[in-house]
Amino acid sequence: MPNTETYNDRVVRLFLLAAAVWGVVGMSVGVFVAAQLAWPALNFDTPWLTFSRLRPDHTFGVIFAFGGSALMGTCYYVVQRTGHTRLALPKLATLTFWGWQLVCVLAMATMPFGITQSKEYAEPEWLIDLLVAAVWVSFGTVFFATLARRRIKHIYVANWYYGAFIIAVALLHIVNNIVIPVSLTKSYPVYSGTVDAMVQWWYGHNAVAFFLTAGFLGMMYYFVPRQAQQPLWSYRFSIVNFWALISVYMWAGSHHLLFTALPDWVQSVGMAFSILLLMPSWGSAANGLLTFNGSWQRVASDPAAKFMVMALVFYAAATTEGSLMAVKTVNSLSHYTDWTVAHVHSGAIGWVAMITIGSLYAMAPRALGRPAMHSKRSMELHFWMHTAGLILYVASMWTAGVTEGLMWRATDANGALLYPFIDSLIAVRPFYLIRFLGGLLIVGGMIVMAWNLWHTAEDARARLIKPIPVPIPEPEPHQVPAPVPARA
Amino acid sequence: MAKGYRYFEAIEKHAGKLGILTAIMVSIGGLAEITPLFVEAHAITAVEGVKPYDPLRLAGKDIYVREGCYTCHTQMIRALRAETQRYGHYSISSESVYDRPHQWGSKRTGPDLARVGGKYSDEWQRLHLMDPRAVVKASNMPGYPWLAGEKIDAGDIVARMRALRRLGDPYTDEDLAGAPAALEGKTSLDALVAYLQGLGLPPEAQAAP
Amino acid sequence: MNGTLLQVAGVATVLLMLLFVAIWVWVWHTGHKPKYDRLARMPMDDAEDRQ
Repeated sequence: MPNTETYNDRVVRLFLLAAAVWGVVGMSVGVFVAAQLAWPALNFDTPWLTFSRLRPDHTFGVIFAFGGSALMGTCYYVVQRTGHTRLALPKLATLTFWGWQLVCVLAMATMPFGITQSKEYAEPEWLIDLLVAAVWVSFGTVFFATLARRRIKHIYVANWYYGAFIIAVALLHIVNNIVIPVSLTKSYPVYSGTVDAMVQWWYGHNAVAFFLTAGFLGMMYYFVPRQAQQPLWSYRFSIVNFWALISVYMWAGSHHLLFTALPDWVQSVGMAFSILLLMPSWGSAANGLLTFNGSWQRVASDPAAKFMVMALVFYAAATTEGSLMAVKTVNSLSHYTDWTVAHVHSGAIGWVAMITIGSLYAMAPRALGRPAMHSKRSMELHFWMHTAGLILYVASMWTAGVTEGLMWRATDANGALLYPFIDSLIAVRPFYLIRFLGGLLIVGGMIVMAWNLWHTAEDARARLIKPIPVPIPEPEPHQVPAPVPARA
Repeated sequence: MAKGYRYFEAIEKHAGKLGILTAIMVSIGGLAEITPLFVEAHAITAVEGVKPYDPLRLAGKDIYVREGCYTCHTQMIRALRAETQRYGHYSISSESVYDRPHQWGSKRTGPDLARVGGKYSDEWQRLHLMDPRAVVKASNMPGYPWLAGEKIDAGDIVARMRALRRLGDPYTDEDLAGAPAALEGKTSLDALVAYLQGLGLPPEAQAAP
Repeated sequence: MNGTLLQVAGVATVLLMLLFVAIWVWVWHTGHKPKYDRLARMPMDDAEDRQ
């Protein structure tokens, strides 16, 4: 039977390129703002170079530009491979690429000029938010339309996570960004005060849950078994963990607002559900790690697998730390300090970046029509630079956070506060320097990856790649819906 | 028992059902927590004595929002002894009803500002915003010298007050009419200092001059 | 009002817990191990591997 249906890897390659570029950009901005905290002269008294205006560029650049591009690219790759079908609506798919890049450029070009909602992790103004919503709905349409034309009747668990990621992020983004515009560049949220805080942290927390967790778990559930060359350790376990994760996470948002003016019962519910969250978090981490069981010798020789294993270890560690920090006694010390920054970055640099880098290294040669990455030694180098940077970052910020927490509450024998605020800043300045060095190592590693990808993409740049044909499975008896016949 | 599985299979083999069920599960937690807050928020707005920002302070608050001060300063004193000792009475809901968006923040690279009003002189605040290290030697706060040269656009502020009124903030026609006069000749720095000096003051002291 | 809300939240928590346990029991007692094993291999079944 002649089979000419091929996978659409062109849009995947575009997202791969974008992820590499945004990774370097977003993390470089991070290193720069980290340097500003250590040496304030680096603000240069220039509005658009000032820390408070640039910091959203770092968070947006890493989460939505780097993470978002990697998620959309791998999502398109995985849904085709697990459904044995070509991507539906190819024009719309290409449009989602350009649309998302436009969103990222617009957001990062406007925020430093004071065009911002100042809602943490949702800073871009209303016009950009509308564009985000349009691109996101298109992305969801392409994804679900591709699922609908799949030839494998079971929907593989990675797609469940990608699906939940798409649905939840749409919901979060829309609800959190309902505003009344005053002008093209200024708007007011319809929520105020306590309600705005609750909506904002419901969003902020679940952006972590569904963007930074569910999306990347989708990546994990496909690329980890591939890289381990072993089937997923337990498919049953993945089902249980999926439903637990998506139903529990939404409840826990209020743990970002413990001891605040938020009603007590909301705080208590948030705390209880944060503890429950340990179950699905550990479950997914264990499932991923145990998939490597019996092939640990592969991990030693495969840098991509190393990234994945380290990502899963940090996923387990960061989620455990997160639940711990939602306990009121710990939170009273940790909140508002650099401990939060340490926690966020062990999740972002440890889990999110490492599972992404591992998956990109696993996917790139296939999508770029090469047997392997251009340089394995530079992958190895990247792994060690990233890991060293991560440890410097997390250890220094954790120490800084605990120092601040303890100094802010320290009292003398008479019960009077021991330290003025500025003393805690002076105490943690050396750690800001160490954090900056850790960040430099991480960005350096990203540049090594970009270089490696550039060379791996030689064939792609010369347009020598032959599209990969879709394997058409044998029809199974009583298959519902019936398999779509291959296109002539 | 295989029967039970069949129902589940119906979900994992149909993209639509899987999607809808996911959406339901995801919504429950959020709705359960946010809906009651909307109800309570109505009660909070009714607290007597708390007035919306006067034009100058509104302009100042929007500068605070524009510059992204929330990245380093909180405006939320938690009900903990060490915090109330350092910053004053813990923050209550009615104090931020006119904050769109709220500025509670999540990180203290600098101190909490919920009750910074009146703690320092206007002159200190000006100097500190222009060049923080001229006043606090070890500070790592950026300077904001451009604020001093920026004139406030009164027409813009009136449009903002009108938008806020549409959202339910009780600005009267007189408030709107009086705004341009109150903003005459004011700079962004004047506005931001006025805003900071009003933070945490009791409602009667916050009334428009 | 807070008392009622607390009860609603409590009931919802318990229901979600029960649902979670039910899914767990369900998944483990259906005896579809061969199917699960096949599904767990899905990422391995790729075009590139067949050629």
